[in-house]
Amino acid sequence: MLTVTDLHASYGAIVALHGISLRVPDGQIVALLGANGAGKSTTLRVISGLLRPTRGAIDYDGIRLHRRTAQEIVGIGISHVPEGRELFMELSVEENLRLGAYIRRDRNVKSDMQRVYEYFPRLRERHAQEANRLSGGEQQMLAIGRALMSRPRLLLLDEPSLGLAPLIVREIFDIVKTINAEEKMAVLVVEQNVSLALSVASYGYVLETGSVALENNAVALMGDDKVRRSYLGYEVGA
Amino acid sequence: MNVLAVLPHLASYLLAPQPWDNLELFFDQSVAGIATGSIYGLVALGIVLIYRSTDVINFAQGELALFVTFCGWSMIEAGYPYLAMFALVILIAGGLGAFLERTVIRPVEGAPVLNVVIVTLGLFVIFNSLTAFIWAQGELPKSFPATPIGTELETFDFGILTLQQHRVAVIIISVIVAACLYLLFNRTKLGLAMRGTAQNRVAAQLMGINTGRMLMLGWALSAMVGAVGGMLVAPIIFLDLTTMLRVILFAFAAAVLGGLDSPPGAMIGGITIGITQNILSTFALGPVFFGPQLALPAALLVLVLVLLIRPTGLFGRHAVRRV
Amino acid sequence: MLPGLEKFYEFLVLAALVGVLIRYTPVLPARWRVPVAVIAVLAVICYMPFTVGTFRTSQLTTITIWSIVAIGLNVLTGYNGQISLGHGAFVLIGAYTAAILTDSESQLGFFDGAQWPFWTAMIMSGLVAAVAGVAVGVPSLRLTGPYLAVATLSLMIALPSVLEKYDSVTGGAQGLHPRQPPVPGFLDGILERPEWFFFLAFVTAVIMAAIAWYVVRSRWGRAFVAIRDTEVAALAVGISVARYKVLAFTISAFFAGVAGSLVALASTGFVSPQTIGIVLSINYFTAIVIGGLGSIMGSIIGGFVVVLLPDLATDIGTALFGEQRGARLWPTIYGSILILVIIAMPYGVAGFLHRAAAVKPADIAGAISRTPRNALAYLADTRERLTWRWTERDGKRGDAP
Repeated sequence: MLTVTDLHASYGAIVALHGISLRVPDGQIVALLGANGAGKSTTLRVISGLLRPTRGAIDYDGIRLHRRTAQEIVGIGISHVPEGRELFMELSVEENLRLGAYIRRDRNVKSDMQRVYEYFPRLRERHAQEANRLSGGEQQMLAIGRALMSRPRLLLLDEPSLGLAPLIVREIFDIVKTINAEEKMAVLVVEQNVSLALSVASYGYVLETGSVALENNAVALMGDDKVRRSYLGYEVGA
Repeated sequence: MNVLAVLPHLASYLLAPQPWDNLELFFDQSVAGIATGSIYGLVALGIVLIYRSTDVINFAQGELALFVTFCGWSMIEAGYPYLAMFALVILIAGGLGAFLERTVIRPVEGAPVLNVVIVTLGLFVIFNSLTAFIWAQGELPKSFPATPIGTELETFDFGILTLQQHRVAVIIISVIVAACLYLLFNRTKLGLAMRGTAQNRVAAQLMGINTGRMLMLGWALSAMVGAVGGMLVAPIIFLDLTTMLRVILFAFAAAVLGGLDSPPGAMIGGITIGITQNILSTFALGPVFFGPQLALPAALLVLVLVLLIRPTGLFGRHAVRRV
Repeated sequence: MLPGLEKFYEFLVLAALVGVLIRYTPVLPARWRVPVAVIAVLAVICYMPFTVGTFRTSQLTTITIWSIVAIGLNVLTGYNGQISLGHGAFVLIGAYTAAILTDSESQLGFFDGAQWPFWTAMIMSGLVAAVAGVAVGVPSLRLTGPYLAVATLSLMIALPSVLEKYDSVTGGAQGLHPRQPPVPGFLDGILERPEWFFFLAFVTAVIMAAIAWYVVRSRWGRAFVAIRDTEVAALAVGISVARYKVLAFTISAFFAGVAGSLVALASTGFVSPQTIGIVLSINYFTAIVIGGLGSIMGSIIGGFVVVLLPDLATDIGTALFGEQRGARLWPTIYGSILILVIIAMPYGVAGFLHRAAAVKPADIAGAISRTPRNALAYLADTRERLTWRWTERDGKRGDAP
């Protein structure tokens, strides 16, 4: 289980997180919701070691993460699909996947790659193409597939829907749900599309300007007046 | 003004030797061009290895090679066999490259790119003067041995072709180096990780790659390749303080011609420039080029013309424009 | 005044002190401080030729001339973002133009004794170089960054052999001896020849600096900067990117050409293909980065750097390692100074001074007292970095999203 306690972080003089606490239980999907600039992506960046927190603690199964580097954290079993996908654009699909398995020393990499291709058959068709030749949806699939290659127990997923057509977004979320079920892998997903995220998540946190404004299980959040008004566009009482 | 003075010049171009007058010389010069071009290519390869991961043109590339080649000269003087010297020099070069990356390049990381360029210019001056300080007491230039494959003066006879032995050696070794690098980058996990780091450092860190180590290895590799270039060129033009200066300018041209982020491009660029230079300095090629005296400007003109058609070199990627 | 320092350096220190004092002490009203400081510094420098001797005076002349080149190059690189390592070529073109135009019959016999007056020759040198600037600037539109740098450097490499080849116009490898302008009548008896040459260069430099100052604050200058910062955005707001980029090249080459004419007429009195070498051409670039990109004062500091830093490095070398070894090791010291300065002042000397405007004396004391600690921290960091296990922290490239 991932436990984040009172997390503070800043970019230079700009404070992005003012004390965030959250928990991601094993095998569950947790959604991190909120508007632009609320600190969702920053939270993921701090967890995966891309940004060092100024204060607070991150704990994963008793291992303290907040002083470790990104490369150590992948080894602990947390994989980050960053905002904007950050693919190796001039490497082929297969090479991207192989780099995803960079930390692994075992011999099952080949079979895991086949497994990723089973989740995302479109990647198999394009395995020899450079990443920059893929469509946006395929790139997102590759980013997720690449993250799976390190065999994570927790996946940090940053805005998988960014810039994609609704049908593809649905497809990607369905696959994430399947992977979560089949691999017993927990997912912390950042998303602006609140109803979509809550449809797959079991629990949700709503961030506002760097702190947790609201948290509850997904069903309760969907019914929450404030969430409906601010993020789902319903007029309450209408 | 004596505009008419140009006419006798024109006539003399037409009378000067042309490639079709002497095919044997033409082939000979082409092979010589491939050999010197391979050396340009090796040094250019070093420049490319650093450029594509950090966007920095390493002006010190040639002088690092000069410094370690002089180290090699001292080893030969001390009685080391050639192969041991060759291996040791490459090791020293690698260590030096890695050391410099960690001590002087890393601290200016995050500063404007031009500042890093100034640091490499500073290193250029420093290594040239250190070389002068350590080795210039004695006679200069010093003669440097050719590889065990063959000497600089003798020739191999291949029926119609008679080739200088050292040129053949240069071509063979360049092919071996290029093949090793190809295998490293395309067939090993380490090479893949280095390519990944060069393309996207944040992503590479997320994959668990020690990106700092990859950049350091890039500098080490670059210095090693440059050192091979230095040891191959030294028997041809002797070992002097200006030896690598004469190579590095063409290596820059080669790297740019091939595309600064393309290692194969660097080799091809180097060979193209080597051949062009040799052919132009032997033949007048009619009034198109202006005879041997202008071989250098003509070769550079070719470079600029290629750049005008392909602004990022023959095999370079087009620069991504970000708003 | 100061023990162990040559008079020449004493005056330079004095000039710098006077400038800094007037600029940063609140005696004068704020808007007068900069112009008064500039005038005071210039006054000190104007006095120098009369006391520092012929050699140092000619050095001052060279500094002045290279400052003009650096100002021009800074318009191109600092303000417009185009890198040129080949500005020496424009200087050489300017020098040859001036030498040919003021030629006496004996050498080339172009003008039947009707040589141009030196000042028209100077302007013409600038114009010829500017035309060359257009010729280089237009194709350069397709190139950026290192590709442009190498292309311009090739120009510099190629030009000398072209000049040698067409010896009927250029005098070939022997070069040309232009007729240097004599001391004009009204100054006769007041100025010696070296002093006259200095003031010729100096007045030209002041005029050119004023022109540059005006240009970078004009609409043109704002367009240059907009293009440097984001070309696409500049295009989007309707700036004709191509035209302004060529314009920057032209202006920049004009400056180099005028400076070149001074090389021919006021400095050496001799022009050959080797007058400007590749290393010098690259040094112009070093000068503006060290002096400060996007700053006219930085360019002038750059002029001093090009000429005096080797001298200074030699002095330090002889002081540290003795006469013999110091003379051979000076480039090592020179290079180390370059590296240290650029690490300590990432935006050049001018950038440093500019920020110093907001600095209080207490800060300076603090900075000095921190220096040993910073140096120790650097050494500690380096020792840590020199291990195989060392790794980067906080993805540096991708900081703020």
